Parts: sequence; structure tokens; C-alpha cells
Amino acid sequence: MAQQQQQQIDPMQIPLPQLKQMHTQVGEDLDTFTSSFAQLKSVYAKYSDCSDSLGYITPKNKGKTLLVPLTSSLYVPGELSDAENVIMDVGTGYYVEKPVADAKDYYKRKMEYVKGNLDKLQETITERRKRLSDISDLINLRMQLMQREQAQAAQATA
Amino acid sequence: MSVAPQLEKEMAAFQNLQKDFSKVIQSRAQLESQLKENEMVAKEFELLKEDATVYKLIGPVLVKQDKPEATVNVKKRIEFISAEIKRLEGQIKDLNQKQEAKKEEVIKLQQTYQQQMAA
Repeated sequence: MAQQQQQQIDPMQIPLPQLKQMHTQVGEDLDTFTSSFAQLKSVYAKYSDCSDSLGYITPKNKGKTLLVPLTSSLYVPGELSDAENVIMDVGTGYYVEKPVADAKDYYKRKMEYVKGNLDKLQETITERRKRLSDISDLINLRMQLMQREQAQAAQATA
Repeated sequence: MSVAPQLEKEMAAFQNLQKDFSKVIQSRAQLESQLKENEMVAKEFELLKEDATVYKLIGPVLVKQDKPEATVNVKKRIEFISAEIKRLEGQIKDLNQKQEAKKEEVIKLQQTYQQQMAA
């Protein structure tokens, strides 16, 4: 409840419906962030796979035969004719030819970028999670208090 | 006179505004991600050597393109998307105001309605 006091509002004075609304709002935020996190993670894995694949394109492997996937289940034999350069998708329909080392560097940069975002997102998620549980605690506390008051009121009239 | 039909009408108008609002917000989010992607491509082009080979995906084929031409193209796209985002921001502001005004109207009507019901 500590961070609610920062707003200079007594947390016990916030109307319950408003608290519940806050709870849903923060819950929704959390869901969005968690799904973004999963998405970013899969992007990171994709870059990491690309980077690993580049490891096989070495001068030593030049001229070797390989299987080229046409679909996920249909392959044709091929030959690695250029072991120095690769063409990669840099986004928005543009493809760039680069030496393997540069391509590796590209993926390294991308991975660092995504990693940075992942870390930031993780922080936000942890913070939201704490806020959500704080609000839950507050709602529960208020509910208990309300019940007790009602019980007391009932006793008083009885 | 009963305010019920009027209340209904204003409610519908308010809901329409809300729908428009979320639509615009969605388009803005989409444009923003496009902008980010284009910016990343532009940054990548900057790191490229002048004589680097750049291909553009047109339909299913990759077409060779000059790097300066591609760079200009991406820059133009960034400008276009930024302008579009600015336009949408204006729309968002406008819709927000309209929404607030409508909300007040609806609340007023609701109060009148409740008073009439109570009377």
C-alpha cells in the first residue's frame, strides 16, 4: 500500500468500485506486457538461430551439397556456391548482401537491442505485478473491514 | 416528455465515438510500428558501404536496387508515416474532446431520466 500513499491519497478513502477498476486496468496492462514479452523472446530466439546458422557458412563448407527446403517437408539438393556473402532481410522488403562477418555483427546488434528491451519490459512487468497484488490486498482488506462494520452494525441493532 | 429516446440516441452516438476512437488508436499503433521498422532499415543503410548491393522485394522476386535510391525511398517513407501519425494525433485529440462532451451530455440525460422515473 506504500506506493499509494505517495499520491497523497489515503488508500482507505478510494471508493471500492474505483479500486476494482484500477485492478482490472493494471491486470490488462500486465497481460499486454506479458504477451509482448513472449513475442520479443521469440524474436530473440529467431535472431539467435540466424546467427547460429551463419556459423555453417564458412569457406571450408564451400561447394558442399546441402538440402534446400522448398516447403517444410520438400527439399531439393543444392550446393553452397558463395561461402563469403549472405543476403538478409533488413525489414520493409529490403534485402542486403553482406559478408558473413558483417551479418553476424548485424544479428549481434539486433540481439543486444532486443535483450535491452526484454530487460526493460521485465522490470515493468515486475513492477506491475507488485502493483496488482497491492491493489488486491487493499481490496481484500477493505472488504473485510466492510464486513466487520456490517456485522457490528447488525449486532448494534439486534 | 420522456427523455428515453433521446438518451438512447446519445448513448449510441457516444458508443460510435468510442469505436472511432479505438480505431484511430489502432491505426496509430500500426503506423508507429511501421515507422520503427523503417527507421531500423534506415539505420542499417547508414552502416552500409556506398557500393553495397541492396535488393528490394517486389512480389516474389528480389530486384537489385542502388543503395542511394533505396535510402531516399526509406527516408521518404519515414516522412510520410510521420506526417500520417501527426494527422492521426490531431484526430485523436479531436475525438477525445468530442467523447468527453458526449459523455457529459449522456450523464445529464441519465440524471434527467432518473428524475423522471422517480417522479
